Amino acid sequence: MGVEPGDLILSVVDLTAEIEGTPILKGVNLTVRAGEVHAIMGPNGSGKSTFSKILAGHPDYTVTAGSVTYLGEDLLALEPEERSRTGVFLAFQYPLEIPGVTNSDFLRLAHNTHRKAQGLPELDALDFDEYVHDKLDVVKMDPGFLDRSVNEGFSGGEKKRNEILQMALLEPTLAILDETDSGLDIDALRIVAGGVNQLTHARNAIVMITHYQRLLNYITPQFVHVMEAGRIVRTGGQDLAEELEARGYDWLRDEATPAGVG
Amino acid sequence: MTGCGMRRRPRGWVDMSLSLSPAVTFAIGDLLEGRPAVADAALQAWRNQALGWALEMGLPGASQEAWRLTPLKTLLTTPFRPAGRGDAVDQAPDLAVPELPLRLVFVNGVFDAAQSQVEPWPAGVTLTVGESLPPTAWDYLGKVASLEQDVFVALNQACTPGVVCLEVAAGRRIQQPIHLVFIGQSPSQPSFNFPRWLVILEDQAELTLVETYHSTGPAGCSAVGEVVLGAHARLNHTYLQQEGPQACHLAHTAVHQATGSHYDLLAITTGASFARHTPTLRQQGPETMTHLSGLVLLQGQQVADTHSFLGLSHPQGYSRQLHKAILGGSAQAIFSGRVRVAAQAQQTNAGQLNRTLLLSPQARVDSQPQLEIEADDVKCTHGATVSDLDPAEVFYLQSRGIDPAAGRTLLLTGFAGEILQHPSFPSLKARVQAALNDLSRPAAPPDATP
Ligand SMILES: Nc1ncnc2c1ncn2[C@@H]1O[C@H](COP(=O)(O)OP(=O)(O)OP(=O)(O)O)[C@@H](O)[C@H]1O
Ligand SMILES: [Mg+2]
Repeated sequence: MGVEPGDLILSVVDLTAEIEGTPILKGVNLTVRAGEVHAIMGPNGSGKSTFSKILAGHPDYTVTAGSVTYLGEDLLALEPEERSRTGVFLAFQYPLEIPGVTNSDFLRLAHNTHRKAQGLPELDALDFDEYVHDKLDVVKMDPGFLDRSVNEGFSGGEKKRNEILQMALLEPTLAILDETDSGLDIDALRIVAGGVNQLTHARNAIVMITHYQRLLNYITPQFVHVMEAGRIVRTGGQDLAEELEARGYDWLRDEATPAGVG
Repeated sequence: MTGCGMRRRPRGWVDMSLSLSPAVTFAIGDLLEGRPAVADAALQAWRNQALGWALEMGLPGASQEAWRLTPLKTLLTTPFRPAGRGDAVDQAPDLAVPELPLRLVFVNGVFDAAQSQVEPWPAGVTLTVGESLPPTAWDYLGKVASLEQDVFVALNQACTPGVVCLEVAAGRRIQQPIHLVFIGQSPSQPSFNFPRWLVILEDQAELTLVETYHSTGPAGCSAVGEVVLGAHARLNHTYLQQEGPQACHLAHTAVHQATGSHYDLLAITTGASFARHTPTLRQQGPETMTHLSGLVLLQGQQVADTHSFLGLSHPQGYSRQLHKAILGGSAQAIFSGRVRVAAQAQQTNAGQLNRTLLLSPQARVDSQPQLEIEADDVKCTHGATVSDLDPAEVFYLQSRGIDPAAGRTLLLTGFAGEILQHPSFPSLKARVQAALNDLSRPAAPPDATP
C-alpha cells in the first residue's frame, strides 16, 4: 500500500450518523496516523460500536453528514469488501456464528480475496494450511478450531481470538478492535494483546475500543479518547485512562471540554 | 403418534387454488392408448395388469391426502402424449461422468446402446435391458413398487417400453459404480416417458448406483426404480434430478431391505419445473440401516415435492433422514416425510430432520414430518426448521473482503454442506455446486425474466 511512518491513515471530520431515523453519532472527529495506537473509551451506548461498524461499512447505518478519509480516499464510497481489501479491519464486539462453513474455508477465502486484490496468486488448501499455522501461533490458537464451523459454539474468548487470527491473516493498515478484551481470561488477554503488539508496526495503526485500563497496560496507546453521546468529548494520553478508571465518566460531563484531535 | 407441520407462505400470498381451475389437459387415456408396443408376451401381460388401475385411479388432486400439498397445475395443464422414438433428437448432450465409466443411457425410456458404456462389465453383475426379463426379476417386478400405491406407478407399469434389471450375485462387492442416465427428449410437442429399473442385491452383495435425469423441451417423466436388498447387502444410491426448466418429473424409489442390510440414498433435485420424488422404504428384517439425505435447490417458479415413507417393522432398526432445501425466486418445496415404527420394531432408532433456507420473500415451503410410533422402547426424533439467509452473516463475510455473491455461495454451500460432504463423485458435486452458485446470485427483478 506504500504507507510510510507518520502518514495520515484516517481522518474523520464531523461525522454524524443514524440508524432507523435515530441519530447515534453527533459529530465525531478523529485523526489517525501510521504508527499510532488509539483507545476509545466511553459509557455503554455512547456510540463506540456504531462508529466502528460505520467505518467497516455496515448497511444498517446511514451517514447523514461529515466525511471519512482513508489513505486519501473517501472511505464511505467503498463497499464493505473493498474497505477490507484496502486494509480496514474490524474485530467485532460480537463476532457472528456461521454454521456449516468451516473456519478454514472461511479464512482461506478471506485471505485469498486479499491476495487477489494485491495481484498475488491464491493459495490452495495445502499451502494455506501451512500459512495459517504460523498465524495460529500469534494468538496461540489450537488448530482444531480450523475444522469447526466459524465461531459456532466457540466460547466468548475463543471468538475474540478468532477475530485476531483474522487480523493476523489479513494484515490490515487500520485495525479497529471493538472490545476485543472483553470475554478474555487473564492469560488469554496477555496472549491476545501480545499478538496484537506483534502485528503492530510503524506502517499501520490501531484503534481499540475498551472499557478497561487493563488492556492498555499491554497495548500502550498514544491517544485515549472518550466518546459520550455520539461525540468524542475528550482526548488525552494513558493518564486519562487511569483517571477514568479511578473516577468514572461523571466528572467529564461537568467539565464538558471540547473534543481533541490526535 | 406425534406429528407436526410447518408452513411458510410469502407475504401477500393469496390462495388461488380454489378460484383457479386451469384447463386440465393431462389425459391418462391418451397416454395409455399411445403407449409404445412391446413384443415380449410376459412383459405385455404385466403391463396390461396396470391398464385398469391407471384408468380407475385417475388424476391426482387436492382431495387426495398424498397430493393435498402438491401444486399440480404445471403437470396437469401440459398436453402430454406418449414419447416415441421419433422424439429423440440425434445428438444427446454429453452427460457422461468421468468417475462413472459404466454407463447405461436411456433416451425416452429406451436403451441407447450407442451412448452407453458397458465394458469392462464387472463379474458378478447380471445386466438385462429391454423386454425379456430373467426369472428372478418376475419375483420382484411391480411388487416393491406397487401399482396400487400411486397412479404414476400404475402409468409407468402400463407404458414402460422395457425394464433395466441389475442383479448382483451373493457376496459380490462391486467396486465400479453403475450410472443410469435417463434422458427425456421432447423437441416439439410435450411428450411423456416411463423409465423403469430393478436392482437386486443378493445376500451380502454391495453396489454403488447413480441415476441421473436430464431432459430437453417440455418433457414429462414418470420413473420407477425398485431395489431389493438381501440379508446384509449394501447399496449406495445417488439420485440426481437435473431435468430441463420446462420438464415435469416424477420418480418413485421403492426399496425392500432384508435383515442387516444397509441402504444409503442421496437424493438431489435441482431441475424441472414440476418435480415429485417418492422414496418408499421398508425394513423387512432386524438390524437394518437406512440413511436418506435429500437436497433440493430451486429457483424461479420451480416446484419440488418430496414424499417419503419409511416403514420400520423389525427390532433394532436404524434410520436417519436429513432433507434440506434452498429456495430462491418464488419457488416452492413440499416435504412430507412419514416414518412408521411398528409395534414389533423395538429398540428402533429413527431420526428425521427437514431444514429449509428461503432466499426470497416469495419462496415457500410446506413441511410435514410425521412420526408414527407404535413400539414403546424406541429412540425417535424429528423436526423442521425454516430460516432466511442472514444479512448479518453476509456483512461479516464482506467485512473480511468477500464480495456478497461469493459470501452467499459460501453460506449456501455451508447450509448444503452436511449433504454435499457425503462420499460422492467430484463431477456430480461440481454439477450441484453450479446449481448452488446460480442460486447465490442476487435475484433478477421479476420482469427481467427472458
Ligand atoms: N435500531 C436501533 N434503533 C435505535 N437505536 C439503536 C438501534 N441500534 C442501536 N441503537 C442505539 O445506539 C446506541 C449506540 O450503540 P453502540 O452499540 O454504538 O454503543 P457502544 O458505545 O458500543 O456501547 P457498549 O459499550 O455497550 O458496547 C445505543 O444507545 C443503542 O441502543
Ligand atoms: Mg459496543
